[in-house]
Amino acid sequence: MEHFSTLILLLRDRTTFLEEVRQGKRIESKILSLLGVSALFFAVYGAIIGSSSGWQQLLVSMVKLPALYLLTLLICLPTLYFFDILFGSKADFRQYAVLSLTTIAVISVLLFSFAPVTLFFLVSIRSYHFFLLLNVAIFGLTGFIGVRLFYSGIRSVMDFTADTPKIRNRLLLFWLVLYGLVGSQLGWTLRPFFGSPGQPFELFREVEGNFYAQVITSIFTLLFGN
Amino acid sequence: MKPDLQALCITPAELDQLTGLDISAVFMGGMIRPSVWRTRRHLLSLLITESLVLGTIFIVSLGLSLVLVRQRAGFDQLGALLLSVAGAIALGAIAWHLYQWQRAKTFMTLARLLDECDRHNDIIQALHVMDELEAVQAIGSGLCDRAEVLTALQATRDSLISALRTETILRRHRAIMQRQQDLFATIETSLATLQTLHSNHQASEYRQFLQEALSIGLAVQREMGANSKLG
Repeated sequence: MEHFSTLILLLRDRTTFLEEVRQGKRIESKILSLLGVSALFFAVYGAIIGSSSGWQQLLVSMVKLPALYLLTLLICLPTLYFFDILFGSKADFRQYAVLSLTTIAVISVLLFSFAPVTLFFLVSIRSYHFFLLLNVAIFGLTGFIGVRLFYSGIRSVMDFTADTPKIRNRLLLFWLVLYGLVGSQLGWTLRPFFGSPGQPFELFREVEGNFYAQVITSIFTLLFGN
Repeated sequence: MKPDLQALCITPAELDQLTGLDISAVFMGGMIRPSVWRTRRHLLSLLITESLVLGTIFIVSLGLSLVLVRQRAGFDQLGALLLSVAGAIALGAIAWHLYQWQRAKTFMTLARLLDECDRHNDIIQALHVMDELEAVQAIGSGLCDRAEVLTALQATRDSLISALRTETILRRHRAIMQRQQDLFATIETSLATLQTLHSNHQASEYRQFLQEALSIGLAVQREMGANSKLG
Protein backbone atom coordinates (compact mmCIF):
# COMPACT_ATOMS: atom_id res chain seq x y z
CA MET A 1 0.00 0.00 0.00
CA GLU A 2 1.80 3.02 -1.36
CA HIS A 3 -0.32 5.51 0.61
CA PHE A 4 0.46 3.94 3.95
CA SER A 5 4.17 3.72 3.09
CA THR A 6 4.24 7.52 2.66
CA LEU A 7 2.79 7.85 6.16
CA ILE A 8 5.24 5.31 7.55
CA LEU A 9 8.11 7.26 5.96
CA LEU A 10 6.82 10.42 7.64
CA LEU A 11 6.60 8.72 11.04
CA ARG A 12 9.81 6.66 10.89
CA ASP A 13 12.16 8.90 8.96
CA ARG A 14 11.00 12.49 9.16
CA THR A 15 14.41 13.81 8.09
CA THR A 16 14.24 11.99 4.74
CA PHE A 17 10.59 12.96 4.30
CA LEU A 18 11.30 16.64 4.93
CA GLU A 19 14.37 16.53 2.70
CA GLU A 20 12.21 15.16 -0.13
CA VAL A 21 9.69 17.94 0.46
CA ARG A 22 12.49 20.53 0.37
CA GLN A 23 13.69 19.10 -2.96
CA GLY A 24 10.15 18.96 -4.30
CA LYS A 25 10.26 15.17 -4.81
CA ARG A 26 6.97 13.31 -5.29
CA ILE A 27 4.95 16.14 -3.80
CA GLU A 28 1.65 15.28 -5.53
CA SER A 29 1.73 11.66 -4.43
CA LYS A 30 2.58 12.75 -0.87
CA ILE A 31 -0.39 15.14 -0.82
CA LEU A 32 -2.69 12.43 -2.15
CA SER A 33 -1.50 9.79 0.30
CA LEU A 34 -1.54 11.99 3.41
CA LEU A 35 -4.95 13.37 2.53
CA GLY A 36 -6.53 9.96 1.97
CA VAL A 37 -4.94 8.22 4.94
CA SER A 38 -5.72 11.09 7.34
CA ALA A 39 -9.37 11.18 6.25
CA LEU A 40 -9.59 7.43 6.80
CA PHE A 41 -8.12 7.55 10.33
CA PHE A 42 -10.23 10.55 11.33
CA ALA A 43 -13.34 8.76 10.04
CA VAL A 44 -12.52 5.72 12.20
CA TYR A 45 -12.02 7.83 15.32
CA GLY A 46 -15.12 9.87 14.49
CA ALA A 47 -17.11 6.65 14.29
CA ILE A 48 -15.85 5.60 17.73
CA ILE A 49 -16.78 8.85 19.48
CA GLY A 50 -20.10 9.02 17.63
CA SER A 51 -20.99 5.45 18.58
CA SER A 52 -21.55 6.65 22.17
CA SER A 53 -24.95 8.00 20.99
CA GLY A 54 -26.22 5.49 18.43
CA TRP A 55 -25.70 4.60 14.79
CA GLN A 56 -26.94 7.91 13.33
CA GLN A 57 -24.42 9.89 15.36
CA LEU A 58 -21.76 7.31 14.40
CA LEU A 59 -22.32 7.96 10.69
CA VAL A 60 -22.48 11.73 11.08
CA SER A 61 -19.34 11.90 13.25
CA MET A 62 -17.53 9.74 10.67
CA VAL A 63 -18.00 12.63 8.25
CA LYS A 64 -17.79 15.54 10.69
CA LEU A 65 -14.43 14.75 12.29
CA PRO A 66 -12.38 14.45 9.05
CA ALA A 67 -14.28 17.44 7.64
CA LEU A 68 -13.37 19.49 10.72
CA TYR A 69 -9.62 18.96 10.33
CA LEU A 70 -9.50 19.18 6.54
CA LEU A 71 -11.74 22.27 6.33
CA THR A 72 -9.68 24.02 9.02
CA LEU A 73 -6.60 23.40 6.90
CA LEU A 74 -8.38 24.53 3.73
CA ILE A 75 -9.42 27.77 5.44
CA CYS A 76 -6.02 28.55 7.00
CA LEU A 77 -3.51 27.37 4.38
CA PRO A 78 -3.80 30.34 1.96
CA THR A 79 -3.07 32.75 4.85
CA LEU A 80 0.15 30.95 5.70
CA TYR A 81 1.28 30.67 2.08
CA PHE A 82 0.61 34.25 0.95
CA PHE A 83 1.98 35.89 4.10
CA ASP A 84 5.09 33.73 4.09
CA ILE A 85 5.95 34.37 0.43
CA LEU A 86 5.33 38.06 1.04
CA PHE A 87 8.10 37.99 3.66
CA GLY A 88 10.65 36.12 1.57
CA SER A 89 9.75 32.44 1.37
CA LYS A 90 10.76 30.68 -1.87
CA ALA A 91 8.69 27.53 -1.35
CA ASP A 92 5.71 26.76 -3.55
CA PHE A 93 2.11 26.16 -2.51
CA ARG A 94 2.39 22.39 -2.85
CA GLN A 95 5.24 22.30 -0.33
CA TYR A 96 3.12 24.25 2.16
CA ALA A 97 0.24 21.88 1.48
CA VAL A 98 2.38 18.81 2.20
CA LEU A 99 3.84 20.33 5.35
CA SER A 100 0.45 21.25 6.76
CA LEU A 101 -0.90 17.85 5.77
CA THR A 102 1.87 16.25 7.82
CA THR A 103 0.29 17.93 10.88
CA ILE A 104 -3.11 16.50 10.01
CA ALA A 105 -1.62 13.08 9.26
CA VAL A 106 0.30 12.93 12.55
CA ILE A 107 -2.82 13.99 14.50
CA SER A 108 -4.94 11.39 12.71
CA VAL A 109 -2.45 8.60 13.42
CA LEU A 110 -2.20 9.60 17.08
CA LEU A 111 -6.00 9.70 17.38
CA PHE A 112 -6.16 6.28 15.71
CA SER A 113 -3.61 4.98 18.21
CA PHE A 114 -5.82 6.29 21.05
CA ALA A 115 -8.87 4.52 19.58
CA PRO A 116 -8.59 1.37 21.77
CA VAL A 117 -8.26 3.55 24.92
CA THR A 118 -11.30 5.63 23.95
CA LEU A 119 -13.23 2.49 23.10
CA PHE A 120 -12.31 0.98 26.46
CA PHE A 121 -13.61 4.01 28.41
CA LEU A 122 -16.67 4.17 26.17
CA VAL A 123 -17.76 0.66 27.15
CA SER A 124 -16.56 0.74 30.77
CA ILE A 125 -17.64 4.20 32.02
CA ARG A 126 -21.08 5.63 31.28
CA SER A 127 -20.33 9.26 32.06
CA TYR A 128 -20.92 11.77 29.30
CA HIS A 129 -18.81 14.51 30.91
CA PHE A 130 -15.88 12.18 31.60
CA PHE A 131 -15.98 10.88 28.03
CA LEU A 132 -16.15 14.45 26.76
CA LEU A 133 -13.20 15.63 28.86
CA LEU A 134 -11.18 12.52 28.02
CA ASN A 135 -11.61 13.33 24.35
CA VAL A 136 -10.83 17.00 24.85
CA ALA A 137 -7.57 15.85 26.50
CA ILE A 138 -6.84 13.42 23.64
CA PHE A 139 -7.61 16.03 20.97
CA GLY A 140 -5.53 18.60 22.84
CA LEU A 141 -2.53 16.31 23.23
CA THR A 142 -2.58 15.03 19.64
CA GLY A 143 -3.10 18.56 18.31
CA PHE A 144 -0.18 19.86 20.36
CA ILE A 145 2.16 17.13 19.10
CA GLY A 146 1.01 17.60 15.49
CA VAL A 147 1.45 21.37 15.59
CA ARG A 148 4.85 21.06 17.28
CA LEU A 149 6.07 18.70 14.56
CA PHE A 150 4.71 21.05 11.90
CA TYR A 151 6.53 24.00 13.49
CA SER A 152 9.89 22.20 13.52
CA GLY A 153 9.23 20.72 10.06
CA ILE A 154 8.45 24.01 8.37
CA ARG A 155 11.47 25.68 9.99
CA SER A 156 13.66 22.87 8.69
CA VAL A 157 12.25 22.81 5.13
CA MET A 158 12.19 26.60 4.77
CA ASP A 159 15.78 26.81 6.09
CA PHE A 160 15.07 29.10 9.04
CA THR A 161 18.45 30.42 10.23
CA ALA A 162 19.67 33.32 12.36
CA ASP A 163 19.54 35.48 9.20
CA THR A 164 15.88 34.69 8.50
CA PRO A 165 13.70 37.75 9.20
CA LYS A 166 12.15 37.44 12.67
CA ILE A 167 8.78 38.40 11.25
CA ARG A 168 8.57 35.05 9.47
CA ASN A 169 8.89 33.16 12.73
CA ARG A 170 6.33 35.44 14.41
CA LEU A 171 4.05 34.97 11.45
CA LEU A 172 4.33 31.20 11.78
CA LEU A 173 3.45 31.35 15.48
CA PHE A 174 0.54 33.68 14.72
CA TRP A 175 -0.69 31.25 12.09
CA LEU A 176 -0.61 28.37 14.56
CA VAL A 177 -2.77 30.38 16.98
CA LEU A 178 -5.12 31.25 14.11
CA TYR A 179 -5.27 27.58 13.11
CA GLY A 180 -6.26 26.63 16.66
CA LEU A 181 -8.92 29.33 16.85
CA VAL A 182 -10.45 28.46 13.45
CA GLY A 183 -10.37 24.76 14.34
CA SER A 184 -12.09 25.20 17.70
CA GLN A 185 -14.74 27.54 16.23
CA LEU A 186 -15.43 25.18 13.32
CA GLY A 187 -15.64 22.30 15.77
CA TRP A 188 -18.15 24.28 17.81
CA THR A 189 -20.16 25.01 14.65
CA LEU A 190 -20.19 21.37 13.53
CA ARG A 191 -21.12 19.86 16.93
CA PRO A 192 -22.45 17.52 18.18
CA PHE A 193 -19.70 14.96 17.62
CA PHE A 194 -20.64 12.88 20.66
CA GLY A 195 -24.38 13.39 20.96
CA SER A 196 -26.07 14.04 24.29
CA PRO A 197 -27.11 11.18 26.58
CA GLY A 198 -30.87 10.55 26.57
CA GLN A 199 -31.47 13.11 23.82
CA PRO A 200 -32.78 12.24 20.32
CA PHE A 201 -30.35 12.44 17.39
CA GLU A 202 -29.74 15.93 16.08
CA LEU A 203 -27.60 16.98 13.16
CA PHE A 204 -26.65 20.31 14.75
CA ARG A 205 -27.06 22.06 18.04
CA GLU A 206 -28.02 25.65 18.53
CA VAL A 207 -24.99 27.95 18.39
CA GLU A 208 -24.69 29.07 22.00
CA GLY A 209 -21.70 29.89 24.21
CA ASN A 210 -18.32 28.73 23.00
CA PHE A 211 -15.98 25.77 23.11
CA TYR A 212 -13.95 26.97 26.11
CA ALA A 213 -17.05 27.77 28.23
CA GLN A 214 -18.37 24.26 27.55
CA VAL A 215 -15.08 22.65 28.68
CA ILE A 216 -15.16 24.63 31.94
CA THR A 217 -18.83 23.65 32.49
CA SER A 218 -17.93 19.98 31.96
CA ILE A 219 -15.06 20.16 34.46
CA PHE A 220 -17.34 21.71 37.10
CA THR A 221 -20.11 19.17 36.42
CA LEU A 222 -17.66 16.28 36.71
CA LEU A 223 -16.17 17.59 39.96
CA PHE A 224 -19.22 18.95 41.77
CA GLY A 225 -22.18 17.32 40.03
CA ASN A 226 -25.04 19.20 38.35
CA MET B 1 21.20 -7.99 -5.19
CA LYS B 2 24.74 -7.95 -6.63
CA PRO B 3 26.17 -4.48 -7.25
CA ASP B 4 26.43 -5.00 -11.04
CA LEU B 5 22.72 -5.83 -11.22
CA GLN B 6 21.87 -3.03 -8.83
CA ALA B 7 23.66 -0.56 -11.09
CA LEU B 8 21.58 -1.71 -14.08
CA CYS B 9 18.22 -1.09 -12.41
CA ILE B 10 16.28 1.99 -13.44
CA THR B 11 15.13 3.24 -10.06
CA PRO B 12 11.89 5.18 -9.40
CA ALA B 13 13.99 8.20 -8.35
CA GLU B 14 15.82 8.05 -11.69
CA LEU B 15 12.51 7.83 -13.56
CA ASP B 16 11.20 10.86 -11.67
CA GLN B 17 14.33 12.80 -12.52
CA LEU B 18 14.42 11.75 -16.19
CA THR B 19 10.76 12.43 -16.88
CA GLY B 20 10.28 15.38 -14.52
CA LEU B 21 7.09 13.70 -13.27
CA ASP B 22 5.92 11.63 -10.30
CA ILE B 23 6.14 8.09 -11.65
CA SER B 24 4.56 5.16 -9.84
CA ALA B 25 3.16 1.80 -10.90
CA VAL B 26 -0.27 3.39 -11.32
CA PHE B 27 0.30 7.06 -12.20
CA MET B 28 2.67 9.07 -14.35
CA GLY B 29 2.45 12.70 -13.30
CA GLY B 30 -1.22 12.53 -12.36
CA MET B 31 -2.13 10.51 -15.48
CA ILE B 32 -3.25 6.90 -15.18
CA ARG B 33 -0.75 4.53 -16.81
CA PRO B 34 -2.43 2.34 -19.48
CA SER B 35 -0.61 -0.71 -18.06
CA VAL B 36 -2.87 -0.43 -14.98
CA TRP B 37 -5.72 -2.02 -16.93
CA ARG B 38 -3.59 -5.10 -17.65
CA THR B 39 -2.49 -5.92 -14.08
CA ARG B 40 -5.04 -6.81 -11.43
CA ARG B 41 -2.83 -5.62 -8.56
CA HIS B 42 -2.33 -2.19 -10.11
CA LEU B 43 -6.01 -1.94 -10.97
CA LEU B 44 -6.86 -2.63 -7.33
CA SER B 45 -4.36 0.02 -6.26
CA LEU B 46 -6.00 2.52 -8.64
CA LEU B 47 -9.46 1.67 -7.30
CA ILE B 48 -8.28 2.13 -3.69
CA THR B 49 -6.65 5.48 -4.54
CA GLU B 50 -9.75 6.71 -6.36
CA SER B 51 -12.01 5.57 -3.52
CA LEU B 52 -9.82 7.34 -0.96
CA VAL B 53 -9.74 10.55 -2.97
CA LEU B 54 -13.46 10.53 -3.77
CA GLY B 55 -14.26 9.64 -0.15
CA THR B 56 -12.13 12.53 1.11
CA ILE B 57 -13.69 14.97 -1.37
CA PHE B 58 -17.13 13.73 -0.32
CA ILE B 59 -16.36 14.22 3.37
CA VAL B 60 -14.95 17.72 2.90
CA SER B 61 -17.76 18.79 0.55
CA LEU B 62 -20.43 17.39 2.84
CA GLY B 63 -18.80 19.04 5.87
CA LEU B 64 -18.72 22.37 4.05
CA SER B 65 -22.34 21.97 2.91
CA LEU B 66 -23.41 21.17 6.49
CA VAL B 67 -21.71 24.32 7.77
CA LEU B 68 -23.50 26.35 5.07
CA VAL B 69 -26.99 24.85 5.52
CA ARG B 70 -26.64 25.24 9.28
CA GLN B 71 -27.39 28.93 8.79
CA ARG B 72 -30.85 28.04 7.39
CA ALA B 73 -33.36 27.55 10.18
CA GLY B 74 -35.38 24.33 10.09
CA PHE B 75 -33.23 22.51 7.54
CA ASP B 76 -34.37 18.89 7.37
CA GLN B 77 -33.50 17.72 3.86
CA LEU B 78 -30.33 15.81 4.66
CA GLY B 79 -31.16 13.19 2.01
CA ALA B 80 -31.35 15.82 -0.75
CA LEU B 81 -28.08 17.36 0.44
CA LEU B 82 -26.34 13.97 0.40
CA LEU B 83 -27.62 13.27 -3.11
CA SER B 84 -26.55 16.69 -4.39
CA VAL B 85 -23.02 16.35 -3.00
CA ALA B 86 -22.66 12.77 -4.26
CA GLY B 87 -24.02 13.79 -7.69
CA ALA B 88 -21.62 16.72 -7.99
CA ILE B 89 -18.68 14.50 -7.04
CA ALA B 90 -19.76 11.80 -9.53
CA LEU B 91 -19.92 14.44 -12.29
CA GLY B 92 -16.48 15.71 -11.26
CA ALA B 93 -15.09 12.17 -11.40
CA ILE B 94 -16.52 11.65 -14.90
CA ALA B 95 -15.06 14.98 -16.05
CA TRP B 96 -11.66 14.01 -14.63
CA HIS B 97 -11.67 10.67 -16.48
CA LEU B 98 -12.67 12.42 -19.72
CA TYR B 99 -9.77 14.83 -19.23
CA GLN B 100 -7.46 11.87 -18.68
CA TRP B 101 -8.71 10.23 -21.85
CA GLN B 102 -8.18 13.44 -23.81
CA ARG B 103 -4.60 13.87 -22.57
CA ALA B 104 -3.71 10.17 -22.93
CA LYS B 105 -2.35 10.68 -26.49
CA THR B 106 0.33 13.10 -25.24
CA PHE B 107 1.57 10.56 -22.72
CA MET B 108 1.35 7.47 -24.94
CA THR B 109 5.07 7.39 -25.79
CA LEU B 110 6.03 7.89 -22.16
CA ALA B 111 3.65 5.11 -21.09
CA ARG B 112 5.26 2.69 -23.56
CA LEU B 113 8.77 3.65 -22.44
CA LEU B 114 7.81 3.17 -18.80
CA ASP B 115 6.43 -0.28 -19.62
CA GLU B 116 9.76 -1.10 -21.24
CA CYS B 117 11.56 0.13 -18.11
CA ASP B 118 9.38 -2.18 -16.03
CA ARG B 119 10.27 -5.09 -18.31
CA HIS B 120 13.96 -4.19 -18.03
CA ASN B 121 13.72 -4.15 -14.23
CA ASP B 122 11.82 -7.47 -14.28
CA ILE B 123 14.68 -9.09 -16.23
CA ILE B 124 17.15 -7.80 -13.64
CA GLN B 125 14.96 -9.20 -10.88
CA ALA B 126 14.90 -12.57 -12.67
CA LEU B 127 18.70 -12.51 -12.96
CA HIS B 128 18.90 -11.76 -9.24
CA VAL B 129 16.76 -14.83 -8.52
CA MET B 130 19.03 -16.93 -10.77
CA ASP B 131 22.09 -15.61 -8.92
CA GLU B 132 20.55 -16.63 -5.60
CA LEU B 133 19.68 -20.09 -6.93
CA GLU B 134 23.19 -20.52 -8.29
CA ALA B 135 24.64 -19.48 -4.95
CA VAL B 136 22.53 -22.11 -3.14
CA GLN B 137 23.18 -24.89 -5.66
CA ALA B 138 26.86 -23.92 -6.10
CA ILE B 139 26.59 -23.89 -9.90
CA GLY B 140 29.00 -21.59 -11.68
CA SER B 141 28.35 -22.54 -15.31
CA GLY B 142 26.34 -19.55 -16.51
CA LEU B 143 29.07 -16.98 -15.88
CA CYS B 144 29.88 -16.28 -19.54
CA ASP B 145 26.17 -16.02 -20.49
CA ARG B 146 25.60 -13.74 -17.54
CA ALA B 147 28.29 -11.33 -18.71
CA GLU B 148 26.69 -11.20 -22.15
CA VAL B 149 23.25 -10.60 -20.69
CA LEU B 150 24.66 -7.80 -18.53
CA THR B 151 26.23 -6.15 -21.59
CA ALA B 152 22.92 -6.38 -23.42
CA LEU B 153 21.07 -4.96 -20.40
CA GLN B 154 23.54 -2.09 -20.17
CA ALA B 155 22.82 -1.24 -23.81
CA THR B 156 19.06 -1.48 -23.16
CA ARG B 157 19.40 0.75 -20.12
CA ASP B 158 21.35 3.36 -22.07
CA SER B 159 18.82 3.45 -24.88
CA LEU B 160 15.87 3.61 -22.47
CA ILE B 161 17.42 6.52 -20.59
CA SER B 162 18.23 8.29 -23.82
CA ALA B 163 14.66 7.71 -25.09
CA LEU B 164 13.16 8.99 -21.82
CA ARG B 165 15.29 12.14 -22.00
CA THR B 166 14.24 12.76 -25.62
CA GLU B 167 10.58 12.17 -24.78
CA THR B 168 10.78 14.63 -21.88
CA ILE B 169 12.27 17.33 -24.10
CA LEU B 170 9.68 16.76 -26.83
CA ARG B 171 6.82 16.72 -24.29
CA ARG B 172 8.00 19.91 -22.61
CA HIS B 173 8.32 21.71 -25.93
CA ARG B 174 5.22 20.23 -27.49
CA ALA B 175 3.78 23.67 -28.26
CA ILE B 176 6.99 24.67 -30.04
CA MET B 177 7.06 21.40 -31.96
CA GLN B 178 3.50 22.10 -33.05
CA ARG B 179 4.48 25.59 -34.16
CA GLN B 180 7.46 24.14 -35.98
CA GLN B 181 5.15 22.57 -38.59
CA ASP B 182 3.68 26.02 -39.39
CA LEU B 183 7.16 27.53 -39.38
CA PHE B 184 8.35 24.87 -41.79
CA ALA B 185 5.50 25.65 -44.20
CA THR B 186 6.40 29.37 -44.06
CA ILE B 187 10.05 28.61 -44.77
CA GLU B 188 9.09 26.46 -47.77
CA THR B 189 7.01 29.35 -49.19
CA SER B 190 9.78 31.89 -48.57
CA LEU B 191 12.30 29.60 -50.20
CA ALA B 192 10.15 29.21 -53.30
CA THR B 193 9.90 33.02 -53.50
CA LEU B 194 13.67 33.34 -53.12
CA GLN B 195 14.30 30.80 -55.88
CA THR B 196 11.94 32.66 -58.23
CA LEU B 197 13.68 35.96 -57.45
CA HIS B 198 17.08 34.30 -57.96
CA SER B 199 16.21 33.04 -61.42
CA ASN B 200 14.73 36.45 -62.34
CA HIS B 201 17.87 38.38 -61.27
CA GLN B 202 20.63 36.08 -62.54
CA ALA B 203 22.53 38.98 -64.11
CA SER B 204 21.75 41.79 -61.73
CA GLU B 205 23.88 43.17 -58.86
CA TYR B 206 21.43 41.71 -56.38
CA ARG B 207 22.44 38.24 -57.44
CA GLN B 208 25.00 37.85 -54.67
CA PHE B 209 22.54 38.90 -51.96
CA LEU B 210 19.94 36.55 -53.31
CA GLN B 211 22.50 33.76 -53.43
CA GLU B 212 23.27 34.42 -49.74
CA ALA B 213 19.59 34.51 -48.83
CA LEU B 214 18.99 31.30 -50.76
CA SER B 215 21.86 29.54 -49.03
CA ILE B 216 20.57 30.67 -45.61
CA GLY B 217 17.09 29.53 -46.55
CA LEU B 218 18.40 26.12 -47.62
CA ALA B 219 20.39 25.77 -44.38
CA VAL B 220 17.34 26.60 -42.29
CA GLN B 221 15.22 24.15 -44.28
CA ARG B 222 17.87 21.45 -43.76
CA GLU B 223 17.97 22.07 -39.97
CA MET B 224 14.22 22.17 -39.57
CA GLY B 225 13.90 19.03 -41.67
CA ALA B 226 16.30 17.25 -39.33
CA ASN B 227 14.36 18.53 -36.31
CA SER B 228 11.00 17.51 -37.70
CA LYS B 229 12.33 13.97 -38.25
CA LEU B 230 13.39 14.00 -34.61
CA GLY B 231 9.91 15.19 -33.54
